[in-house]
Amino acid sequence: MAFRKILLFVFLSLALVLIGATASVAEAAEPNDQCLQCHSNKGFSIEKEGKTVSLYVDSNELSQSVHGTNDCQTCHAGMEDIPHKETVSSVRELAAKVTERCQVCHADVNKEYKDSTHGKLAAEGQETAYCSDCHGAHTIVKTENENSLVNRTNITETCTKCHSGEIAESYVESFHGKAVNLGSTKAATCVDCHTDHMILGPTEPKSTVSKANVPETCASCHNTAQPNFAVGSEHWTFEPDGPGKPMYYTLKFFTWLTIATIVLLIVHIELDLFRKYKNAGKK
Amino acid sequence: MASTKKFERFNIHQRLQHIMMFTSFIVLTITGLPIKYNHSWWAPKVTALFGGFDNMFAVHLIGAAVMIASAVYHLLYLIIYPIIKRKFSIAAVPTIKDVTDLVQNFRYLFGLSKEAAKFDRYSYKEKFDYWAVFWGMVIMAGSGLMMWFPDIAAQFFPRWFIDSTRIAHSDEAMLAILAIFIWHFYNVHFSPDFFPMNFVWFHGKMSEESMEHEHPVELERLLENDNSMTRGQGPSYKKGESSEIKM
Repeated sequence: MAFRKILLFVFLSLALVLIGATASVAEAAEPNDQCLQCHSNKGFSIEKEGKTVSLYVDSNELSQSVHGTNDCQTCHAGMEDIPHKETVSSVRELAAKVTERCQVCHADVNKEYKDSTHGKLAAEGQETAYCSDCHGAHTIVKTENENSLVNRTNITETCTKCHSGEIAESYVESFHGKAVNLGSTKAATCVDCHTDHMILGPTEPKSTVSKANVPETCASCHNTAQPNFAVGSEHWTFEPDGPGKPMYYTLKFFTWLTIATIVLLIVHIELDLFRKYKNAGKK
Repeated sequence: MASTKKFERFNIHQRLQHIMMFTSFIVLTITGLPIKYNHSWWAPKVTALFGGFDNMFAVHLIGAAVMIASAVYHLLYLIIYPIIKRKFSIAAVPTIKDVTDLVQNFRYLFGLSKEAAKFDRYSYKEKFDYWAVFWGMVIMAGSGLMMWFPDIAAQFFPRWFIDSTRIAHSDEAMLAILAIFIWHFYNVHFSPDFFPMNFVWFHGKMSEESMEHEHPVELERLLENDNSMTRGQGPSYKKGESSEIKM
């Protein structure tokens, strides 16, 4: 009997070790469990600048994103202590801070970004687009994925979150904008002319949309670089002054030509029907 | 009494040109309007019928090629046909009679005169249609080709000019669509004289009764000519022959 007791003891000890081992393996596979204990609660929020900021993270979406297997700490460094000691004062500051963490992995892209107008403004501490403004935060998927904020079906909406007004209006009314809106796989989106991470303003000589470089940029789709491609403006709206002037007067001319012609033709039809009606009455 | 005599009004070339023109016009309307009104609820649905924008746009370009071909066919026809047939006509050119016809017709429509205007081969309405298409083709094909081949267009024109032609393309299209589906469709489809359709586009022939009503001046001249021919040479009247006097 003593032998059986020893056996049972050994068996139970081994079982305990096994359970412990599986438990630690499970913990290693879900390193974010501790974070999600709080952050997976939908109502989890904080008051910042007088506004309620949600601190909720959809763990399902996060696990489906390209960063689904990363630790929370990869992007949110210095959050070991609970409650967190290293806090930010605003949502924008968080975006800036996380942008610094992106370069740990995306070093090449980050270098391009730092040289771009967006990156320069970030360095100056001015309001600008950080990585997460274009790519999203916990939901980042590959560009080819239709849900990606930088997929060609969504990129216009993403850029025009900030670049609204004349820039957005003119693109939406352009042939490129119309074609992309209806699902064209060829027509130019914002990034086809402006590039993605290396975006520079039109006044910078190196910019793809500077006057000197516009012909070459157009030629990347339209065969040959014609100097005339730069004689005019891409982002014009129908205004009697400014770059949209020729188009404005073309629109006015054809609008009034159409109204006048069609009104006269309809009057002619009505008179014709009136005469036929009268003549029919006589017979 | 209604005569069974038929007059050839449009020959096979003219009828083919018209068929090429209206088939491509309908295709271009269907594939073009979704681009003009891309934010409407129906534009994505029409685009989906073609299996996406790229396909729909390819169909638009095919339609454009057919329409331009019909215009080239017509211009060549205008030059070559008179040389081969040794017949030359300027019947489609506007004259003073068109102005007096217009005035007379409006007096008649308003009830100020009992007499309707008597038209020759082409009434002022038909001349308007013809020259409207002529003008429309210049605008539509010109602007369309500039957008189709922007790098070639940019060898001659600045960017803002090519952008303006896109506006012209979109708005002249609207004018053409309205003119065709209201005015032209009234004249050849919905008018009580022809409903449901004037089939002259198909067989090219018009009855003497219709001629009497629509083109009395031309009919008079054709019959006079016919009579003198019959008196002089003796052969009996042959269908379609008389209209050969005019092209």
